[in-house]
Amino acid sequence: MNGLLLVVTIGGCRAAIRAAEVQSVVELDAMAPVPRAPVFVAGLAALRSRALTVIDCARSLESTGPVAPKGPPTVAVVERDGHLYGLLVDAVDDVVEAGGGLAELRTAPQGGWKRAALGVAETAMGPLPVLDTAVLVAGPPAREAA
Amino acid sequence: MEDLLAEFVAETREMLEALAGEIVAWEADPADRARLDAVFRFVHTVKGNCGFFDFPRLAALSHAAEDALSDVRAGRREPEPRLVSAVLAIIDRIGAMADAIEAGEEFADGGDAALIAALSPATDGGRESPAEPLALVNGDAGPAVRQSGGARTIRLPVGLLDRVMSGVSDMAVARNLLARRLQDVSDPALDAQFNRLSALLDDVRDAMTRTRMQRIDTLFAGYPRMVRDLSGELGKQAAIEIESGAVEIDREMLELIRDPLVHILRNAIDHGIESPAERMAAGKNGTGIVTVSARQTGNVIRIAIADDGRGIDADRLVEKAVAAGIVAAEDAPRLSRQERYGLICEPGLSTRDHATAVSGRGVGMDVVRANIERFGGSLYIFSTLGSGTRFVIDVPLTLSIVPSLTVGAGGQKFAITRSYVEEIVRAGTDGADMADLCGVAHVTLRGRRVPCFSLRKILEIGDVPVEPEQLLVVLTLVGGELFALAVDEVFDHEELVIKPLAPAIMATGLYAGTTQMDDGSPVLMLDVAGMAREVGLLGQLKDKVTGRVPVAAPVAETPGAQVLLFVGLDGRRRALPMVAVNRVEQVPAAAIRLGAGSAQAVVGETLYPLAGVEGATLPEDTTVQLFRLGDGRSEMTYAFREMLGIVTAECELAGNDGDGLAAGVALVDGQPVELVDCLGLFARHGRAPAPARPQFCRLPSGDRWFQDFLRPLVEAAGYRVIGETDETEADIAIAAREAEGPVPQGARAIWLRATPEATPDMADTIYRYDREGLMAALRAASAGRSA
Repeated sequence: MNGLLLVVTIGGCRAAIRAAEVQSVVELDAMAPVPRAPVFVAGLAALRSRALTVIDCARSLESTGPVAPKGPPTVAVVERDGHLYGLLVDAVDDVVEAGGGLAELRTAPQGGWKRAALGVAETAMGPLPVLDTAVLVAGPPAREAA
Repeated sequence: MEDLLAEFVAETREMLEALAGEIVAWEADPADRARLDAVFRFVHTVKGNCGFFDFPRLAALSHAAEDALSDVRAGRREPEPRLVSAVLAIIDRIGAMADAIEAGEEFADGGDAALIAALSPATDGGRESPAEPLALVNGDAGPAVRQSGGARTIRLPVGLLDRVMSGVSDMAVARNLLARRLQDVSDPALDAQFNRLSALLDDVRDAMTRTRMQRIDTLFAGYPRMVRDLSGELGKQAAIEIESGAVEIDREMLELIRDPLVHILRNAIDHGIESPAERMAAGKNGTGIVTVSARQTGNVIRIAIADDGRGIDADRLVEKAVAAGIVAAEDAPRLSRQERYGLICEPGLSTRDHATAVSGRGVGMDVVRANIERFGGSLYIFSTLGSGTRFVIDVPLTLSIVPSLTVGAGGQKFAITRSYVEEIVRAGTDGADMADLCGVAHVTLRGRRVPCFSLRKILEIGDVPVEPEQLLVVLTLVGGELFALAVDEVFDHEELVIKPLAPAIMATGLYAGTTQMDDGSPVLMLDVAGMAREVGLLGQLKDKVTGRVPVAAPVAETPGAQVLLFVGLDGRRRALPMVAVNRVEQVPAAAIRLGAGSAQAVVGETLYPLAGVEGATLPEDTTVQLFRLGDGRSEMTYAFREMLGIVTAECELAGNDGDGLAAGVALVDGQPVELVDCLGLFARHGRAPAPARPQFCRLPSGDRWFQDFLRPLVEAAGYRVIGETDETEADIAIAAREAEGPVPQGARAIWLRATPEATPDMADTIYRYDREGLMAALRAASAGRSA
């Protein structure tokens, strides 16, 4: 596949999201927690006058990597089924051009990563797993989300 | 109606314009199925709309064309050129008529029959030339001259409207942020300009809000057709009556109520209306009537779907519920009427043993109720066995702007739909005594035991029990059950713009939406029904029943107790035990009636027995202060002139001194003060045990005799009078035996007759001027209820 990829760090690991799906990257200044929501829902913020559901990508991928650094939360805004989601990442690193198609992910990474990875893209920053935002937004299967 | 008419004309014209190309193509190739369908849809839509308005000619024309085309679609007829021409002629005529409707002119008579006749299959007598009827049409309608008149409407994509709406909301948020900054600057000239901008913005917001509104008629327009088709399918005969006033409803809300309404309507025809034979046997008209109405009352829209069918057999429903283990057998007799009928919304319960293709086995009413509650609406069911069922849905006026109460818990702000909020009390005070029952805190409010739950605990943001002094938001569930949420803070009443939540958050079942405060911070709107489910209140009728058993709290009058010192109307100093005083009220003198037997006072909307007025004259044209006293079961009022304060007094209980007014003497600062005998007061005045809610009596509202003569008597007996159309459950209904019309809804009925002598067919009636007989019947009803 060709196109731009947004390079992000999630749970200490580099990954990519298709830039075409991302409306914007914003730093949130206020976020309200949602009690009793699944753990991968970090909270609720407002983006202009719309509700932004903040998804903790590391939790959504059940990542065991290091905890996100302190600081204003950085989210990549995507829209799915009419709802706005903010994909909370450790950092947004770069936007790169992806060359060629997606290679199959041959290694067997932790559960969440395998579920979300569409494949591996070769980029100037090296091979990066391209994540499916739909899977990120949906979170882990119900068993774990409960 | 005119808006609707304009919309009808606009829609028809729009469809005609879109169809113009199709018609030509169809004419060229009558076998083209897609074109045929397009033309069919057009006449079908026009026909449906005509049924709603009163355009018999349009209806007849479109109906005829629809029939002919549907034969073609079904393959029963060939689309021969003659038929095509005839259909096209009718479409032209429909366009010409729509123009005439818009111009407010009468369309010239005649020609319709010829057009319709042209549709009929050619007889053996030979083929007529289609040119004749066509020429006739063109001759008398002439070339269509469009005259623009009245307010023009345009159609806009919904997405564009939403964008403008959300832009306006953004501006409001930005405005509020700016307002804060301006406060720091305090420049009067700047403030004036800003205020002007602010006012303009509010205007725009109002106007934008109105663009979201749509006539509810648009929703009902398809019903006549649906009822016709359904009744045909089910072998029933049913007609529909629609009365919608000029109710406007939020566009989004319209979409949300569409499915629940259709479901209820289907149920009404499938389960409610009997077969023509059954109806005849029951002495009813063979054709059942379904009435759909919409009214705006306050900030809710009340939509009612009523049928005159067989009604719901509440006893059978309860039996089934008991059998299915939904209701405990011992609780069954204690269910209120609303709770009984509410059982049809329990999953898997129906009085029908056979499922039908149309509405299944009544499965789905649980979904209907859940859907209605989801958008903050409520469903009420009224039914009289044998004469019909009435479903009433209260819908909030708009989905997106909800009057809300904001509360705080665990340092976070939440919103609650105001329509659910019954009152706000502080636990352990304001007469809200606390008690612990099986680990669940309960407060007693006006004789009802209300379970309390900590909002923090439900949301798992802290594990604190409900404690005295905590603020309780008392919420009413559909069906009238109460429960209270203990919160840390109560902030404000606000009109909030509610936005939908992402599925992952909705899945918690605890939230209904989200909103933004003035400073842009997001706040979650609590789903009250979800909260109730969470604490196990919904779907467990057992709990609901035990939750409303009246509780008796003995009035403690111990020496050394806190007493409230006051000056009575007669000028004497008295004291009341503090525990007996629920609150202090102020009412206009007009709200007090010094009857011959016992005095009464109206506080809020409730009638209470009144004491403390013996031998005193009421100050005229002023207000009177009252104590509201309670013994845990019933309440009464006590009038006083001046409150002196609360003191702890040594009370010496004297023996009853005969007049029953003083229980003893309290020593306050060495001065003896009469201690009011609460025990005696309640024994004399308390209608013990008083019902948890006032008793209602249904009287025919249009009848002068009932309203002028009977009403005062009924009210004096302690009832609140409601009309026939009031949705409140009546404890008793009084009606004239001779009167025509439906049986009034009420737990008990009293029939009055106009003649002193009872004829044999007038058994169980009371002569309308038999005061003693009437009072006895009212008392008997009242006693029967509280027994």
